[in-house]
Amino acid sequence: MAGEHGERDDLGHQDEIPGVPGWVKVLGISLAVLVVVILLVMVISGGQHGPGRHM
Amino acid sequence: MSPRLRKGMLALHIGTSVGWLGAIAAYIALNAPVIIGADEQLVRASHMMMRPVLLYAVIPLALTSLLTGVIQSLGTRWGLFRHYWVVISLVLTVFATAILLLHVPAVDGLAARAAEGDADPSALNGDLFHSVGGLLLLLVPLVLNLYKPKGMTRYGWRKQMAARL
Repeated sequence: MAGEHGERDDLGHQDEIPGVPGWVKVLGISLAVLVVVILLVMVISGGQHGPGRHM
Repeated sequence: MSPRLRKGMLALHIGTSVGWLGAIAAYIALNAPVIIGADEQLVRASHMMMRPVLLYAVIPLALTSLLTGVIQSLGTRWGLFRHYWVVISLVLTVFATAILLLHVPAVDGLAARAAEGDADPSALNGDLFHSVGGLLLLLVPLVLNLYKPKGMTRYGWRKQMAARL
């Protein structure tokens, strides 16, 4: 089936320059929000945890 | 890779990846006595057991899963940087493995504190955040590997075009 970015085969191969798929944007935004929430929780809870603790 | 070798590598990759999740589940289970907190000896024992589970199950399985995943990608038409689902799986797995390795000293410290008979039991507060976080994070590559959502990177597209010429 011809998609937004041209014909694709079973491996997703296509004829036109690909853009970033919608699912990648959704996943990226979700992970970014999750990271921000975790950082906020760390700061609010007194900053007891961070990358420095692992060094 | 030959089809037989590819299947063997795939079996190894699936086995170690699922084993990694199972080892994390065992690590999470060690936190149950800490949360319940009724038996101080059991809390100490749980903290001391976290170290061998981490060193001899979680880490070896994580490294093997990462290595076999990379080999599997490079040895097939999927490639390592040609499709978004492979790239994202790789990035998340490398991130999880890096946090895992950097977390070893903290687990060593917990185990050492637990081994001290006169140590304050309130300092033994488990390690649920990293283990649950790691488990949830690794569910993303698991789902991506199963569904293989479409989406080719620009690098993959250029390689595809070059192969056609």
